[in-house]
Amino acid sequence: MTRVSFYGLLADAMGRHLEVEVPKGGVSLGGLRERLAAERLGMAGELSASRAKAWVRDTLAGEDDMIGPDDAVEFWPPVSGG
Amino acid sequence: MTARATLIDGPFSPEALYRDFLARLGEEAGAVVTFTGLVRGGDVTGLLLEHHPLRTAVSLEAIAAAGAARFEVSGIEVVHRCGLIGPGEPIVWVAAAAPHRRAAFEAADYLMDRLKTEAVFWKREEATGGGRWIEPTEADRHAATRWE
Repeated sequence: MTRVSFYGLLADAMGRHLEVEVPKGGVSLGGLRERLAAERLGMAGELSASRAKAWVRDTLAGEDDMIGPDDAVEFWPPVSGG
Repeated sequence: MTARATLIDGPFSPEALYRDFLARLGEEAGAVVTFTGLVRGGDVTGLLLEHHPLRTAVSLEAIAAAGAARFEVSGIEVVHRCGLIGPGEPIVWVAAAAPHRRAAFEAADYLMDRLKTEAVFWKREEATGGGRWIEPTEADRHAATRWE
């Protein structure tokens, strides 16, 4: 199972963590976004690459990067301090 | 004196921070600029600053270090609060000490512009009618581009 974590408004909508079943060969980040958006209608925009950064294995991930069953993924909405 | 950054999950006193900062200054300092950001009142009952268990502190340290590297300063300090903060309470405090005033003014300005747009927090305004997640404004983003 792949552990997916959310922050900010995404955590409000998706929950703080989700366990997602991922095939042995993995799923691309873009594919994972699509799966999550299909499960939470109305959140596709906020889960899109233009709105939410994704971290995989402590690295900012690209849409074609593969995510395996043992990976942890974090989705970040836009940040703001100060 | 070098760059320091601290993440705090409770109230802090800008006055106490300022006294400590002054006490640590070296002889080269000829100017100190500080900035305190407060939660505005009005309809807002509080501000929730959600933080990341690892990356928030790292982002504060990186911004403070970048300010120290970029300007002719002798000391930089950033203190940022997380959690639920009430109206009128301080959220953020930055200080810059330098031999001459221009570098101190610019460093404080730079630190705040980068904190507004890059510090790893998720901010929600709490009001009597409910909460609203907020993001950097166009003005915040435009201000940050001045330093690119």
